[in-house]
Amino acid sequence: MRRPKGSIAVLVVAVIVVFALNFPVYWMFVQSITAESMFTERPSLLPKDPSLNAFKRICEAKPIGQWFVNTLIVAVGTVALSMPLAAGAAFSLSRYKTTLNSVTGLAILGTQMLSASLLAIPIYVLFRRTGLHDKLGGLIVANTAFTLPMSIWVLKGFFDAIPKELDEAAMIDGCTVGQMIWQVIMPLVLPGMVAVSIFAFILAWDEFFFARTLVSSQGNWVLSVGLSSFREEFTINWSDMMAAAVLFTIPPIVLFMFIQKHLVSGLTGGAVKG
Amino acid sequence: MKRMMMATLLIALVMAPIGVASGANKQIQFPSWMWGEAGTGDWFKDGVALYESQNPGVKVVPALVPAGQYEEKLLIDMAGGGAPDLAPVFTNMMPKLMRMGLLEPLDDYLAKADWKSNLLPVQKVAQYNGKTYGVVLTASPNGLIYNKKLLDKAGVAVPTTPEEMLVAARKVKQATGAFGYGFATRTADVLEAYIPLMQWAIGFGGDFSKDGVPTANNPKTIEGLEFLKRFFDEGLTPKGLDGPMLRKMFVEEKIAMLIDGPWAITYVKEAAPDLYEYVGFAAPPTPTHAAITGGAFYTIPVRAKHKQEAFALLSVYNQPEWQSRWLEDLLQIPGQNAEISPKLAKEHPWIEGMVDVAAKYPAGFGYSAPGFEEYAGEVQRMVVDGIASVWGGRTTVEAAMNDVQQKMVKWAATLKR
Amino acid sequence: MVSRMRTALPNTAVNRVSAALILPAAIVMGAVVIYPILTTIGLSLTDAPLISLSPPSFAGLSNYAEWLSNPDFWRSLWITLIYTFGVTIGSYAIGLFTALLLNLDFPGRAILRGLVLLPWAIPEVAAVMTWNWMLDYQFGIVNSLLGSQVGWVTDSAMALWTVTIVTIWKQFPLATVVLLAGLQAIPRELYEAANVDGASRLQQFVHVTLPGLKPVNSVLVMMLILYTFKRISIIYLLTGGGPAKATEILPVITYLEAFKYFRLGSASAVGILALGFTLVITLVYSRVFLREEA
Repeated sequence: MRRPKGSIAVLVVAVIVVFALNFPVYWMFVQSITAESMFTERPSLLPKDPSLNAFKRICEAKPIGQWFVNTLIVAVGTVALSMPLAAGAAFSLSRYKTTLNSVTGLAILGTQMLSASLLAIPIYVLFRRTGLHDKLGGLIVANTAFTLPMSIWVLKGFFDAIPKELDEAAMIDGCTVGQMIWQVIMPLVLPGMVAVSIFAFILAWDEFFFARTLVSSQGNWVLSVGLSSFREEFTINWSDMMAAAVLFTIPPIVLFMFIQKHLVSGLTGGAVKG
Repeated sequence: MKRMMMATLLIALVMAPIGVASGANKQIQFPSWMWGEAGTGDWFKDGVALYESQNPGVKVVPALVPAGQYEEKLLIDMAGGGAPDLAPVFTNMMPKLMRMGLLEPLDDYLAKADWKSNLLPVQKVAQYNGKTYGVVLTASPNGLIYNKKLLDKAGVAVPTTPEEMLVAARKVKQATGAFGYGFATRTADVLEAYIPLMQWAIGFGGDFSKDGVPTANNPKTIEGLEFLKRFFDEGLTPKGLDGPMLRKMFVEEKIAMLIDGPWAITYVKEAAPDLYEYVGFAAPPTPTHAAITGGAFYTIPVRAKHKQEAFALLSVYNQPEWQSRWLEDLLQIPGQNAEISPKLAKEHPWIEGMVDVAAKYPAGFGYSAPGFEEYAGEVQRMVVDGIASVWGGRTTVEAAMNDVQQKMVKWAATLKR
Repeated sequence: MVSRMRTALPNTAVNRVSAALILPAAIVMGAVVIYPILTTIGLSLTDAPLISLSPPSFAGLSNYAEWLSNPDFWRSLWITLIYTFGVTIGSYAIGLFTALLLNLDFPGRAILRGLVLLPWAIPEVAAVMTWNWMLDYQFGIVNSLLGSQVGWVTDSAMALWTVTIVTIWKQFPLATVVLLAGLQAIPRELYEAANVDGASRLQQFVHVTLPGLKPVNSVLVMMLILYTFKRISIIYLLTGGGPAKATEILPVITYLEAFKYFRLGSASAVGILALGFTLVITLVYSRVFLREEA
């Protein structure tokens, strides 16, 4: 064990490092509350005459509440949809070496390789034809498709870490495959599921490219699209945009803070084994 | 069991509620970046209200798209096989869309419109191969926009020649510390960076092409750009900014002069009402006084489902009262000739200057190089890539433009004409 | 290493069960991603414009030939590779440093672990706009604090460095989290044994920590490479691919070809070429570094 004095020194270093790395975040916050003009040649590090006016303004001028709700629906929906799919696929890839699995495994890698610009139109067409266009459900499906590869990859690591013997023992005891997975294996990878859920949540929360392509009606805007609307045709509403960005960032961070201990201990068990 | 749950979940999510009304018989899709703007948005919405009251059973669906994404979204929509019914389109998009056959010819509809003859000359941007593909919605010229307070403090009059402008900018900087003349040098936004180049190249009698032949290193083009560079070299303009930032600085009185459109002045009116009376609009102080004209057109995509209704809606906005209202309320030039009432002239003295400039010196339609209208994007990029090295301090205007000329000539040779 | 060869089910049942488990995910990904890849391959063999009223005409491999003989393409590939590897190495380095730091025992560690993730959790648009202004020549806090007069995004000599650093900033927390997990999985006994043997901290790091991280590294680095190779937003919003093409990575060319010049067939060819290069890098990487995989 370390002496308390050493660990305080480490704390100091860690605080300096983390805060230094987060300077841009701090700066974003300062821009949203400072009264100083953004066109100041030596900007002050501390906010001048800080006020929450920008926050008040944006809540009045724009349907921030609606955007929040939509984004929450999309993020939660993505997690809800992708977790079962990812778990199933990861388990299959971990346990069963079939040709279908090998091909799918490669294809999963492949999905990460194409430029988003080229995905926009085919996906738009596909979603239009299947009636998913301009619906939050469509965004959920799209986000799921994009977060599945990483989720599957990481979860596979977890499943790999659980000995096959456990499967067999359960089956010998008379479980069906479904029961074996659900009741025996899943509890063991729960921390991993939590970890991957956070990743998926955040990716869906921040997603911008498809959010703006696949949704038209204002009532369906999510936060990322709303944020971009602060850049108007001729002007840019700087402090309002920064305020919106701050509000936008808070929920995932709060979520993070609550769950981060699961996140880290979750990843411990699985990914390590490769 | 789990699969059933997943399937149900999927279906439930797919059916998630949306806010699109679908009660009426016909729906006119009318996307625009303007729905959310104060003033312009109201103008459009009132027009919709009038139209719907005149045409029961038809509903207009106003889709708000942020300005920065409008072009892309419209393209994706059309690329995906769909299209809105009435689509406002920026001037720089017109040449391409027309030549690709994506817009409905409007000549037949226009023949029956009594307001047709009132359309301003910029309407010709919407003409191709003898047909008309759009109706000008708004087209305002860029002019010299100045802060009289700062000019007075520096003891200078409103410049009318390039040398006067340079002197004025210097004196403003000395007397007040503010930048004399701000122009866009942020090359990340290609169009924004291209506009001042056009302004000064055409202003000195040059351009980047003529009748489909590249002229990037034409002596007049180079002369214009070199003059512009003097402002840059002497620190009279902020570096690396684009239009929106420059306008904000102007509003905060940190820049004395811009060459920009009337939207800058209306922005002043909103954001700094006390400054408004001190802001004026004059012809650009270049030898030719060319005023690059920007704006938008109404178009009806060729795949629109309700073309007739779309044109009827468009006509509402083209009635004289609406045109006057556009000018009076929004202080921008509508698509047609509109009278300036004495009251308007008194309250907003700069407007007469703008209308004058629009009538005498319009230029640079579509932001495209003459003869290369369809390839405006490529030309802009080649030119801006060239000037980026100049703004980055790496090369001279002459060297950069010679380079651009070479590239353009090589590129032009590969085009299938 | 866990054995994967034996299962308790007969072969056909295995196939059915494994397929049933993987199919839903495969279908979603297939529809949303694989289908576009296939249409893109198809389009790359045509002269399709972005929008057309009639079917495009077949152009064979001419798009590919044009691009492969275009110096702009090769310059862009080179810049993309520099960007990708720069960002990967940088994210990894900072990730490792922060992971090692946050792996130590000190009070308040939990909160700092949460905070270190902020750069990654912040929405990209907001982060880039903030950085854009921080890097402004006149009014940016960076030039102000450093007392410098550098055109971070306007000078073609600096721009690539700048976008690389901003991307590293955005991406490193991913490395931090994965490496932190990896560090915690290294058994304590190994360190204790090394201690008993008289190994110094540095020696412990080299002989226990680094090897212990090997399995994590391979997955992490692969992830970083793939993510970075196709990133477009940060560069597009900061420099638009400039100045003077200094940061014009392949995804930027793809975007411009499709949405600014309306040449979808041509853009598709660039996209497929980029995909091809990514595939090659992946294969080389797994051959060289993932030999331990069964």
